[in-house]
Amino acid sequence: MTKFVLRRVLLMIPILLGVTLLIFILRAVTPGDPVDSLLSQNATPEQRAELREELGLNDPLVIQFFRYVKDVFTGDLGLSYSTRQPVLGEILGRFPYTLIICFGAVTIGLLLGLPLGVFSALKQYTWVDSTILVLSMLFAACPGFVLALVLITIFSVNLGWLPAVGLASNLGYILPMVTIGVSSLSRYTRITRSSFLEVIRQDYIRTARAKGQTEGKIIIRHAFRNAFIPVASSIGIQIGHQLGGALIVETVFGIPGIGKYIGDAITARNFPSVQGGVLFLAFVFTLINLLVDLSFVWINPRLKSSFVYESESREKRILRKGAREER
Amino acid sequence: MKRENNDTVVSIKDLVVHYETHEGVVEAVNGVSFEIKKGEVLGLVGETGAGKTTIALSIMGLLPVPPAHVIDGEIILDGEILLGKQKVQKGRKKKDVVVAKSNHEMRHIRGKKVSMIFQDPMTALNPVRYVGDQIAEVVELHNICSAKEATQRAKEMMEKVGIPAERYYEYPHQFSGGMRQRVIIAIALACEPELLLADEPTTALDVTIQAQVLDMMRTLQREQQTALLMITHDLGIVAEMCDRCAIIYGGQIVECGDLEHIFDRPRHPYTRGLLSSIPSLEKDVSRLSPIPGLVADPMDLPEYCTFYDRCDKHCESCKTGDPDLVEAEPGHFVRCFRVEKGSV
Repeated sequence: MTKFVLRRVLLMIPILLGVTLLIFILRAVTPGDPVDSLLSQNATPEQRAELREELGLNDPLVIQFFRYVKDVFTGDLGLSYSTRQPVLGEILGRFPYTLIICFGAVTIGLLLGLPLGVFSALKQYTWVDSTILVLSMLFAACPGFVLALVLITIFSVNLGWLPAVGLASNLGYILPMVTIGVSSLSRYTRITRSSFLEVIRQDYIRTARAKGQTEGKIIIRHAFRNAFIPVASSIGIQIGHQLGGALIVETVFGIPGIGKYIGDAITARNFPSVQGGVLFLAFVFTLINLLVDLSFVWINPRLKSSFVYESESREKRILRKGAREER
Repeated sequence: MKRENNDTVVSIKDLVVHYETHEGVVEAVNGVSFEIKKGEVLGLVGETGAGKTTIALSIMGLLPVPPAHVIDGEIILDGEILLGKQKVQKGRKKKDVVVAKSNHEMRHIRGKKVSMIFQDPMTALNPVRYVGDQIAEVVELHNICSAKEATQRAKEMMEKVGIPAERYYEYPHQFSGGMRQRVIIAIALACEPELLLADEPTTALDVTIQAQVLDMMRTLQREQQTALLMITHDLGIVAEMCDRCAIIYGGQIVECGDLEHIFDRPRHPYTRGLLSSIPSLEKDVSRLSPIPGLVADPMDLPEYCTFYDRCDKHCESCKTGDPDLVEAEPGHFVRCFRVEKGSV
């Protein structure tokens, strides 16, 4: 088990290196010069050259890359061009907002998506099932910013129940959470439905019926946990989508989260902030996926034994080695 | 609903079950009748698609409805009518309608009075729950007892089927096929049912394990005096396990009797065909002798004797209608015109 965690943590390094490299390449091909947005229009060419030198933009990209990687390993994500503050500090200050929204969105998605999926499967081929399916398709196909605007129109402009932008009160969290949550909700619904339909036809469900178990308990005790396995594996990926979606949704709702931070940084060609933000999100994403995979051991006991067997065979190998050496 | 009867545990009369599919009506079971007494083992032998499993599922009340549809018949288990005809007012006329016990009522019977062992042990257990809990579940459902007592009973049952009770907190994937089938047998027998339906319980196991599992089943069946319906296509198992045997073909019992009737004095050409297709150790033959032709298509059964097309002794008079099941000698029933006429 420890070995598995260790291996996964080590595997994060090449992933993050790859992400960094990708951002550097994108940056190289992106038109626009950060100096333009940092200095006023009437800055002299000397001033511009001086700033470029100061920011290290004159060095070859490879050198810049390795310098950056070295800094990252020491926990330094550089200074933001626009504020001259450490990027890491700025990110950490903004991340809680994004985290709260994402967490809320996952909760909304799972709390509604799982029951809807099960319900839809139980009512397969009825109008209830079709309605749920069509709606979930619709929401899955609807881009976040469109949904955001629709929700603002309904709940803020027409009904006046919730604030449209900002976090003046905690109510401001609700619309962004719903916007991100709804798109994942429809995915959870569909995954739950199809996996539940598969599980309910399994032999062990028939065994449970043959025992005289009630339908309700068959669903809860026997079907649900098995049907949850594919859903759980999609949660990690869904959170990835949500972190990406946060960029747009936070901009629409004016939430000072990490998505808006990156969005602003891109328009300002604020490279350290973009790099730092994306790298941080990638880190969070891999970490969450690691946690999801670990929770799998609890959800799906068949995996646990594969860890146990692994360590057992390792022990055996050591024993065998010891025996050989004794001889 | 209660009917007093001597020691008959289950009696089935004229059971007819059809499956209504898009391609047509599958006539799976066409008028099957039999009885099993307390402690008796009845073998139900037939090829794939002969309707064996459908009969068992009808008793359990677990037929997939739709497409399955019970057309006719009566099933009485331990004096209780599980399935039977009732006069129902329809418009002005009273009509006979086959009424089965509701799912709610059947729940108290399944697992307690009648249990079923399924064919494939690899998929019949829930992969994410402890095997012990899966045994305890059925005890808890039917014997009103605490969870602790149910656990105790589950451990007892595990020991009885030859699994150490320490393995209570293990998952099905940690068990081999034979061990899983033992768990399933433990589940089936945990509440000491009156009737056990074993649907090809050893088909998925290899031969040595088969013998062990059958042995264990036989011991437990004798101990609990359970009536056992042994569904199989293996006449060897029948010879080993059963007291009586019914041969089923095209959804009908074609021959039924004690073991000596079936094995020593088979009357129906199909039974003879089955017996002669068993490889013999004594005779020196290079080829097996199969029954020519294919199993009767249950979607397209003939009006006459269902075995006509494959029968080596058929004659023109066989096409006149469906033969009845007649008693050829006491306790030995055969469905064949030649027996009816007394020519065999």
